Amino acid sequence: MKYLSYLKLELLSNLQYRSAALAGIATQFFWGALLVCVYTAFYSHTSIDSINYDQLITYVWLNQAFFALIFIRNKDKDIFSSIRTGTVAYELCRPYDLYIWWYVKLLSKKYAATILRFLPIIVVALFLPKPYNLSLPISLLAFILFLISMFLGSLVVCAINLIAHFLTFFTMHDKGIFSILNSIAELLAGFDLPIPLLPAILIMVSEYLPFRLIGDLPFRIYSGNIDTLYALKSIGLQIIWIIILMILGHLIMKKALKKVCIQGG
Amino acid sequence: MSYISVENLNKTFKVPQRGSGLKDAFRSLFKRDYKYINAVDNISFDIDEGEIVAYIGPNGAGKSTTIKMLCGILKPDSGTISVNGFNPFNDRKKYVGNIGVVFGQKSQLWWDIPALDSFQLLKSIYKISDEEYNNTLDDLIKLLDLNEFLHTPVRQLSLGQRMRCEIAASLLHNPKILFLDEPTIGLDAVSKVQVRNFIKEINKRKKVTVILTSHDMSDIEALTNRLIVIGHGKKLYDGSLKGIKSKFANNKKVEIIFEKINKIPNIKNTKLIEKNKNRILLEIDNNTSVSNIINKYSKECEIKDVNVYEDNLDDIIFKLYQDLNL
Amino acid sequence: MIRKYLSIHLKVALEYKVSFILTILAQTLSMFLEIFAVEALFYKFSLLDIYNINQLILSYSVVWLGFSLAEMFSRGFDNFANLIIDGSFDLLLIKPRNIFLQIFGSDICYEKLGRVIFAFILVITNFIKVVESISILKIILLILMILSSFILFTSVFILCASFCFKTVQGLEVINIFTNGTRTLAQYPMDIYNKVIRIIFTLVIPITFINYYPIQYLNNTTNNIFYLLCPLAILIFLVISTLVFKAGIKHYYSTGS
Repeated sequence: MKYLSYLKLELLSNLQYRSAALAGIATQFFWGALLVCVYTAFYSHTSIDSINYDQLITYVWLNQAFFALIFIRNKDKDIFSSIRTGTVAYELCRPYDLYIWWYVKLLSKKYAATILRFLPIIVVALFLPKPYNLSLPISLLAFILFLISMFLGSLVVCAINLIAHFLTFFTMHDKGIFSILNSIAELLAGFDLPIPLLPAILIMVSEYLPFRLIGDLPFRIYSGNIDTLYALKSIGLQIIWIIILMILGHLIMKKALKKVCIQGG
Repeated sequence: MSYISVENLNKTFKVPQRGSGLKDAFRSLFKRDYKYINAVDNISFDIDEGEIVAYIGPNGAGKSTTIKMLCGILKPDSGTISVNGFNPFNDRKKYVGNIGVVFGQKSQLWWDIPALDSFQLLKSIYKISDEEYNNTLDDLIKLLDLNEFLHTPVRQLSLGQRMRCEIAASLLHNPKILFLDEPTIGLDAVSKVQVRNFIKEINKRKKVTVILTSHDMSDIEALTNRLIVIGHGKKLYDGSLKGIKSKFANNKKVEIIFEKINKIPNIKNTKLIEKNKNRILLEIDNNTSVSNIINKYSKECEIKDVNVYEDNLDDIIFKLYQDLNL
Repeated sequence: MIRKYLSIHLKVALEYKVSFILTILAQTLSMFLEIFAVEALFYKFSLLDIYNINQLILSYSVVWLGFSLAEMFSRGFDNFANLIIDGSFDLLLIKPRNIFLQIFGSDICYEKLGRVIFAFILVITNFIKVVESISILKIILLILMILSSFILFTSVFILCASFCFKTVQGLEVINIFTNGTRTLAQYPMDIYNKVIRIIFTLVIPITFINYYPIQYLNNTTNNIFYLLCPLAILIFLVISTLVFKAGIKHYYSTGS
């Protein structure tokens, strides 16, 4: 299948950037260690109800390990420039749905980057001295649910990513808008602070938005911070959001392309 | 002693070797193999004040390494360089005020704003007095015809206009020596001629010594009579344009076109290559005069047209590189 | 020459006004959110009874102000890899002026202006609340704190830039150093365990720019030596400058 062969191609060409992958692993690992320091400091003073220390540390390590997968601030130069310069007109001539094509492209890149990175971080984090280590999943069921929701989360983030790309077509000043949107999305996705540590009002807001479904949800399922019933419900929610976001993305793309075609690129 | 004098210059680089496979990549994390490359191998030459010298060679021959050492930003392993009494590397800060450099592919102009703003910054970097700056700039504006686009952001200029600004920028401080690294790369025919004329003019008027690298042989034919060719870090040729032609050029070919011919004359040192009903192609060596041949032929036939084919510099250099296995 | 550099970069920034303003907003927002996260943590862990909130904000806004100033004016070192990759560094070397000055001048990032102003307002308002009575000495100390914070992050940038002489591959790792320093420095030092505190005193002397000086500002101590703490940063500056100079020397002999 053409999409699968694309994934393979992306994986192979990604192997060329070994030093980038190594740098990524080092960065993610140190960043994780740094956050562990900070949170350890806080938990040594008091503890809080919404998430316990072990769950939080596990959250931190998973977040670092799968960072390439859940990364929101993802800019694809090809997609940007193909619309900017109008070469998208050629892409429209190809025998496939452009939205799906770009979607698969983003997804392949994410998986290619993740496959090269996540394992070393997971392994090292598992064998760190207690209590700074990544814990094992709370149960086999939780682990299976984690895998499912992690996969769905990657579908969510790609759909959001594409919408962010399309939105910049309407504003020529992409850098600022793109960055502002992403900053807000990141906050509500639990990138700045895990969602259980956010103020109550933001936790409530995040419930109504898809961003927490990217990484926050699977990480909390893994550590048992979320119970099975709520996890199942949330996975349903993920599927609903994926459908909504993809339809929305499709519509915005059509609008954007119309604009590009009128401008003549 | 000459103005620029380079003696037994050497520079070796250590280059990490890397295999292509995954295994090699893994191994190179721990142990690296190195290869030593003599980028500049015992090169000597002298250049007089006011000369224009072309410094040419295939990619990777060591051209830019030499230029970098002449500019004082790379330290020679051994050998001496003396430019106007300076040692470029040791006296770098004093020395670089005397040189101007144009890299064809790197810009020293600010991309988003008019060139004039960049000029003013260069004025304060080089501590040029107001008077000198105004005089030089006026001169350069006239000479390079910059007036129309001096106030346009550089990103909106054509490549030719940009190169003219680029050259002006490198001459604001009235350098004694100008290094030009591929100054006509990517330019259209008109701009090329403009840039060449300007280089000649500045050389004549201000006695600026010009050292030029280029892959464009027409640049070199138009600008200079002195040529230094290097390959694999070694000096291969140093002398006049004529010299390299007589040394490496193939024999000339003469094509004579006529209505009808009585008899083909027998001339010494010529070889008949082709013969048609109304066309003859001869190969003659470089010392045989073409007029002599025409003379003899005109007795046997009514000549309609004569063409002489000579190797151009491109062919010669190509042959030179090929002979030396570069 | 410094004036020329300042004006030329402003002209560049103003070439794309809307984009410039949007970027300023975006930058300020991302800084605001980070500060917000710190605040939220203290709130969530009910630590605000233990820590004086103004002192807390003063402590990390000094860090942020110095960091933003360094991002704005020392951008040339922050982005040094680019100078090496596109060959502009060679162009700087063939100019008869001090190389440090030229690297500073090679890029001035006015887009950080929003962050600088925002952090400055936080510093001033919280300074007024922390000191019960304003004195000349305390104002001088505040200025020293801001300056030393700027110098500290500039030194970190210079140190990181020195690596570019060795390799320009996988340099993202260096962000750990710059951003990591900033992130850890946002929290009050006494929250950490001993090891980290020692690192931040001896290796990267962050404690000297906020923790110790604030002891003097809030009248915990009257020891005049606390006034001189920010000067300890100069040692760090000297070291990183020397490392960078060694890097240039290496560059002269390898040219890559």
